[in-house]
Amino acid sequence: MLTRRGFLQFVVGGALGAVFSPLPWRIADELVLFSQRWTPQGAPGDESWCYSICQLCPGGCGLKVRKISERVVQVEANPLSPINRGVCPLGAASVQYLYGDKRRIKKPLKRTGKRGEGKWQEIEWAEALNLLTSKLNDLKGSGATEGLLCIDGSVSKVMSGLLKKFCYAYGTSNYFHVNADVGASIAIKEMQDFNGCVGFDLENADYVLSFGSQLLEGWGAPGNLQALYNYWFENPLKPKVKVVQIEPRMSDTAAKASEWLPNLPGTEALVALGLAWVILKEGKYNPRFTGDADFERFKRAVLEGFNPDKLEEKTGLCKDDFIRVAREFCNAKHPIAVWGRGKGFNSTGAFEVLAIHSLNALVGNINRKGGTAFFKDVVDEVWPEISTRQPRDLGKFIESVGAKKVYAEIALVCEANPAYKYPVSFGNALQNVPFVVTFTPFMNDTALVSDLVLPTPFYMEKWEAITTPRGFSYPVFGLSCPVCKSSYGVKHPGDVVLAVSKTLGLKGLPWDNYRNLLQYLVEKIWSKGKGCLLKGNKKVALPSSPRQMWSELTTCVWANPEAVSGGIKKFDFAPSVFAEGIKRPVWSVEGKSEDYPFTLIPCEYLILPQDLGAAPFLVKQLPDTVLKGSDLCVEVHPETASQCGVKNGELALLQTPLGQARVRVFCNECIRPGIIGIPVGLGHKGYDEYLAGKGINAYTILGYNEEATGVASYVMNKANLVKI
Amino acid sequence: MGHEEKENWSHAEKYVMVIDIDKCTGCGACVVACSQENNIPVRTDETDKYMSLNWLVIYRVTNAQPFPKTKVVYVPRPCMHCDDPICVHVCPASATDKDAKGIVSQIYPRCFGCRYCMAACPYHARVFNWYDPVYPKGTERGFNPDVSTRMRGVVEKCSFCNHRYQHARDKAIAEGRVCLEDGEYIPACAEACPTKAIYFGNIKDPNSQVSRILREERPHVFRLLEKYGSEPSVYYISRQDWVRPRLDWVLEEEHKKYKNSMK
Repeated sequence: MLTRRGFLQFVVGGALGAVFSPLPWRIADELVLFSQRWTPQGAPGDESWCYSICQLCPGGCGLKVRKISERVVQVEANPLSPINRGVCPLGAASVQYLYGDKRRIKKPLKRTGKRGEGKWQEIEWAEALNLLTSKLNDLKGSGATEGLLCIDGSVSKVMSGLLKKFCYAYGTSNYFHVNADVGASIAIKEMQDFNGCVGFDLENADYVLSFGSQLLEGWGAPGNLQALYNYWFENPLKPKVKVVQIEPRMSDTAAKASEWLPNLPGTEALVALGLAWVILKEGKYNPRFTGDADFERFKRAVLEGFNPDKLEEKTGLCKDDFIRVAREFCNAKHPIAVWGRGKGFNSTGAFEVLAIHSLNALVGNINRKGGTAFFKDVVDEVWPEISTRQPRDLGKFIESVGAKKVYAEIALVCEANPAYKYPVSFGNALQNVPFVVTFTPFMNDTALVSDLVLPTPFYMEKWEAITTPRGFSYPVFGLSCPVCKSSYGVKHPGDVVLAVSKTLGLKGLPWDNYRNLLQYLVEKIWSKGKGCLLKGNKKVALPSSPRQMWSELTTCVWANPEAVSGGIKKFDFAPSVFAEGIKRPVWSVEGKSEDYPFTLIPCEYLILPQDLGAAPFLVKQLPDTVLKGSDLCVEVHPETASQCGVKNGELALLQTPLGQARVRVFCNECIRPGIIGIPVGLGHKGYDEYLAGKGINAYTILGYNEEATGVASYVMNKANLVKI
Repeated sequence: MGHEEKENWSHAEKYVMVIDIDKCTGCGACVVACSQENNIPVRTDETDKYMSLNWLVIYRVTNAQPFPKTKVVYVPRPCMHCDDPICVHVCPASATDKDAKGIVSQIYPRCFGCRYCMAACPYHARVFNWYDPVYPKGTERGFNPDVSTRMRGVVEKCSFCNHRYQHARDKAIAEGRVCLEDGEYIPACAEACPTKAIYFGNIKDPNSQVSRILREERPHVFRLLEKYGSEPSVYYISRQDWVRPRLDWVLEEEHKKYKNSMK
């Protein structure tokens, strides 16, 4: 029974007990911690630096990676790399890609729900490999090996080469690289009967005519082009080069170029032929490739049909500009005409490349200092059987899979994201492909609709060889070694391919693992004895043993600047594509001009990678004139906006023959009136909350085919902008 | 090292940044490198640029001419580290100070978030932590241990990567040197810049790269909003006459007096 005395004893005793117990101190401590809002801090550790090569794009920038204990914390440029002097924003965001838990895939995933539903079962690698091997084995057993479709997006040509070899050995010809410039390779094949690396010696050029190539925004090797910009304009008052940018919209490249000529979209080929007209008319061409029957055919056709007088209205450029630029071009010492619109990841039309490249031929600047360079890459030389194959148009192929004209049983997607680039046709094709396996480090749009997702290491976690950066004018080879251990359950796609082909008993792939293959290549290069090691600007002779070469190549690169001297076998000014091309309009047009009075063009930004989604830091840097909230902004001239009755910042409906989308309007003087610019690289379904669901995928409403060759190209579309 | 030597050291050092606007391509590598170096948080929606937190911002500036005469330049804007910093004068908490080598510091635990400094800074170089810092899940592993992360309710800004100075100085002391060599200490943005448009160094050393550039390019050098007399430590170079008046928002009739050179 509780008495008054007992109660007081209990309360006082309890209070005393509590005071002398650690409880109040503990609570006070917790309160301090709670009220201070401590933020996470970086754990200290020993600092170390490693070398690596960036593989976020085919630019091959050399990197120096800062580590604290085992953590990677920063990337900087490798001072020994001949390619770059700093890093680009993508490379700078590498650490976010590496540690982005929500994007990275932790274990092999097997689809359990419906396709695209997002229900996965984590499985072990052994089970995943079994599944893959048995599917491939069944298909091989059935004899229909052409049913294997391989979509490659690898940055390394060695990995691509291995996949090609695998397809070759397996017995399928359906190998595609997502970034292959199909139009350009058709044109080069027809003109020069050449299939291999195309480079541009921009370093030694003194007049660069760029037909919409966004040289400073991801075209070619971005790190190299930025370094070149510094070299060209070291003294901006006395530049080493004149860069003329022919583009309907003032991109960053056009803004930094010596001159900007805003043409009408899709008229690049006409502009090039108009310039050729002036050169031919004035007889200022170089005799190096001229004089044959094909040249006479070309000359006649150009003089007949491409008088700049008549092109003024079609191209939007005035006649005086044609004459002035053409004269400057052929009077320059090392003029070069450059193709590959935007970042050059979308196929340029074959006719367009042909028209542009004929300018290079007219001034004789092929395989010469400051000109276009044609050569064989290391991988092409080691495996000649795979390099003879002409790249094919993936867009057209998956369209025919979707239409059931072509049969595909297994789609093997390696570090590519076709579901983003071909949103409609890939979706249709998937209905006819029973098994889709994706190798990728990130949960991208394609992984979401796959049946089996195999996590691959990020570039900092694996051995890889980087060959000739895109657009580089001589062959290069470098090794990138793992900088840190992966914290995810990843396997190198090369190891997987080699293991699978061993189980399937495929011939011609004798290596145990990918590293062995790289060693084999290094030995091959060493034993040929050509070229040198490039350490910054210094040329160093090859080391005395392949072993030493291997260790040297992890910090600097091998290169063979002499690979491109000498002439070319043939040059044809007027192959069949040209004959076809001049007869028709360049692009096939859908939709009536009354319904769609404007032209829609893609706007590409360096900080908006396409297949590889932008890292959070990159999305953060996007101006609010590209993305506002989750709304995508399209760029229009104020005149165009008032024509449509919309104001800056307002919402509007963008309509094209392919579909429509809700967008915000951004008025800007930096674009031709009558044109709508749509940013490419947003509207992803995969990745994380920093990117998914933001903006719209421009590829859903862009799309055009070249008339002469039927090559799919995402250069423009007809469009209308309607006030909501 | 004795007290006297330390004094000498600071008299021999003043760090400045020189940004060549004509060489900047606006790629954004400096901003990303800065964010990575200084553990800058990222929220899922950063499209409200008034709330977005950055130490370095690239402005896109046009000449305000109609198509097709339009011209564009890109202007990276870090903290100006003024010699007469207005933000320091107004801070009631002594949370920000100008140190001997020219860097305007910010002491986060001392800041109580009144944001007077933000109102005072003519360059909008200061930003406020409106929210608890958030990082994409897992990227905390990439934190730079040399830079503390900041809590909600404090102001932060560019520090010219002061921790890099400390590293370089520690190294110099260990090697028994009194002065840092040119290029031994540069911030992450200058390090990352792929066109090398950002120069950084000691202006008190007449042989340093920045001193040389400032001498050579003297007719084209200017600083932002010099009329406020805050004496910024960030110098800009542009050989295009329209750039400076546009950056300083001068009136039409003032244009003639305004050329691209320092008074």
